Amino acid sequence: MAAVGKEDHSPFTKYGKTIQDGDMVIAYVNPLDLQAVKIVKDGTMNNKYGAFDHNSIIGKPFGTRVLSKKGNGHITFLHPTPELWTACLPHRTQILYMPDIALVSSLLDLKPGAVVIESGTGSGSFSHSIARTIAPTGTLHTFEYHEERVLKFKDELASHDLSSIIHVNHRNVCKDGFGLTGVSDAVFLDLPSPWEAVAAAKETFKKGKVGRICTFSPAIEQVQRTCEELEKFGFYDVRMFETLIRRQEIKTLQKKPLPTRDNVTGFTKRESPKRKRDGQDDEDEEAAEGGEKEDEEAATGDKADQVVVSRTVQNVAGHTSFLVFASIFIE
Amino acid sequence: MSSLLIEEGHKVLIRMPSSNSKIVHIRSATQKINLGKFGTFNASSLIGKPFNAAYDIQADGNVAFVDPKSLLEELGEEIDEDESSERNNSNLKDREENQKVTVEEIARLKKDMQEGKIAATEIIKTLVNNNSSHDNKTKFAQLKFIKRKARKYSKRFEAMEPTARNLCEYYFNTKPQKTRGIRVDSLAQIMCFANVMASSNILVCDSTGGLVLSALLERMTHGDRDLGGRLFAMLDGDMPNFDIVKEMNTAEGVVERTIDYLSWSRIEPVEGEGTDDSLVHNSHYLFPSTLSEQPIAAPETTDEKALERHTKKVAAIARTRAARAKLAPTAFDGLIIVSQFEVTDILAKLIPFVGYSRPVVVHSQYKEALVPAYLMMRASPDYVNAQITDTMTREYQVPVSGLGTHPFMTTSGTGGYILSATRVYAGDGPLLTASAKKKMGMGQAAQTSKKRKL
Repeated sequence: MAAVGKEDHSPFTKYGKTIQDGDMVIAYVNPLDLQAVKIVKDGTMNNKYGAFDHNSIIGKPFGTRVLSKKGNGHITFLHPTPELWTACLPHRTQILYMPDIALVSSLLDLKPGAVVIESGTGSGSFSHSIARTIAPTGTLHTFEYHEERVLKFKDELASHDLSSIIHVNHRNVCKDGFGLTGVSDAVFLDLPSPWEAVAAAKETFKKGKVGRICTFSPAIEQVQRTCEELEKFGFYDVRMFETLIRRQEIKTLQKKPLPTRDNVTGFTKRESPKRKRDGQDDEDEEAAEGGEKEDEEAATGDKADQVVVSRTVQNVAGHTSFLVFASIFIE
Repeated sequence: MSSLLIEEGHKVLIRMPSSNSKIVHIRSATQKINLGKFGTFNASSLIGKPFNAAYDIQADGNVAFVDPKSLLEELGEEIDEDESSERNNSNLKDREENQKVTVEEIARLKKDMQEGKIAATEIIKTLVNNNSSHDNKTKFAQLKFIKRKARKYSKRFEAMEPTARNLCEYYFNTKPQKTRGIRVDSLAQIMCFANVMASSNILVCDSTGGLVLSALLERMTHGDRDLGGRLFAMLDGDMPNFDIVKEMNTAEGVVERTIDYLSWSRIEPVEGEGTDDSLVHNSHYLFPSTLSEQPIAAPETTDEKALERHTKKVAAIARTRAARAKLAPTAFDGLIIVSQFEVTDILAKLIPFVGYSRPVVVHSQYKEALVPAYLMMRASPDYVNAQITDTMTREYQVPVSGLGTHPFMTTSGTGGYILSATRVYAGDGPLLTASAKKKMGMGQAAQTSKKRKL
């Protein structure tokens, strides 16, 4: 394996304090605009916020926030984390996002020292998170049948100094099995037909203790076939979950006074203290603007004519998959 | 790694047939463990057996490892696989005579079972065979009936390992107020938002009886090996109240080595209080109450007890000072708050100790409790990526043992809300003001109206 001896310095398993030549940083503008950048001496980063000299942040702490050269935005140079990597990694496949990753990690009992098997590797989103959780004493054996993805992921691992924790295998586990016996504590299957890998997965579990398996499938028909197979091979305590994270939207509403009669015209007078226009649309417009402006106003004053409100955002984007968990004991 | 097998001295989370759970401490092998109406068993027979597996209590009071196929499977022959449409509940009537076995008969069977003369499955079979409406039920309804009876008569339990996840589930189902309503999925997300690594040094405000510390400890230890990770817990009072940490089977010395404590009132040293004996009242002296940085003069006495008190006191003071010294600027790799205290107050006190580019994660059952802190973060140049989220998690019945696939009838409505953000370093150059951002039409309007990735 490459990079032996460097693993302790993987930013995904150990924090650094200051940004050094050769470090990876996440250039963060907002949750939708972030980018992984390798800092090199005399290097320059170019984006819509202008050119940026790497030298100006070498030696600064991770998390340094600067005004862009063009003066049109703040860039914060964050320490990499698996969660940030998930948000900016090059997509080669559909990837797993944080809520699923969190639940799977917990229900597979991942912790330092665990030996984990994953198939397929995909874009390596979950792999980084697994490595973070099982390091420094655990091992992840990850399997992918798509050769190009394997090669790209190997490059990534080398540059992230994770090669000693993550072992990548180019292999179709449904056809050829895992080639490992009696080593694993947990198995995660994200495959089109996970039931084809259940028998082989069973072989990989450590003997004399209870192991955990999870399969990740979008369709209920896949779940049903997987459950049949799990039961057939002696897996028990089979449970299935669906999980969805919902962002909360928080903003300030202007309280509106009741309408009064206009003494001159005789019509009802509608007043809006801040906005000149008539009421109804205001709320929607505020919702569309949302974000920091509203929040800052709310923070600056505890104004009597304002009320802080919150709700679950309208569009909850989530994964469309079911998570099936089971236990196995091999004597 | 977790222990593979149950040992003397271990705690075991027993999941009973009724699906209620209880925590049992196996203090000695000679002990008898009482599961109420489900029976009593000899602790010795559970020692050496694997965690997270099912056991039957046998007539001799010993437990036997059950080849993990479900009880339902054993009773499978009682299920009619015939799926004809004739079967439905149109002719089912609620009559006492549906069950031909009399109450007295059932009592006798139960007694026989308790004496070990018959197996639990026998009772269930008798009840099924003498139920006149059973044959008219659909396959799913038959299974449901058997499952309900099994919950009542089975002597099969599961011996779960008291991991943070299992303890979280246990408390969420039994005493959610103790753990401030943290559900398994919320706890899992806290671990992700906080980027918990084995080598992390994390500051924690835990009013959950130690559940959060347990979960962190689990993610930062491997047997008794020191992986470098440290936890620093703020105490709600003068004494630690982290019972749940003690309910896990941690290797000896790990808790003491990994967790430091400091009371809120001891963050700053107070002059002249080092001699205040009234503060040094607890017998353990693990969590000292003395405040002064001044050396403590030895008492002018030869009374052994007084000298012993003095020694303990000096150790206690040393410990407090050592702990306080660790509260240094930017020393911590994250701050996790699940506290009974006001979040903005906590942040004001503790944020200087949190490193740059390190996460701040706050959990609360109530969204409103997080909003002031969220608004403060959004307005402050010291935080980025502040967001409040909650999670909807639904469990489904799965198609095993002939059961159908469907959502469970009851789903927990909420596992609480999480406020997460990252502390940043805004100390150097100029920053844009909110009004300047507005003028440029940027702000954060764009990001909030679109889907977020994090």
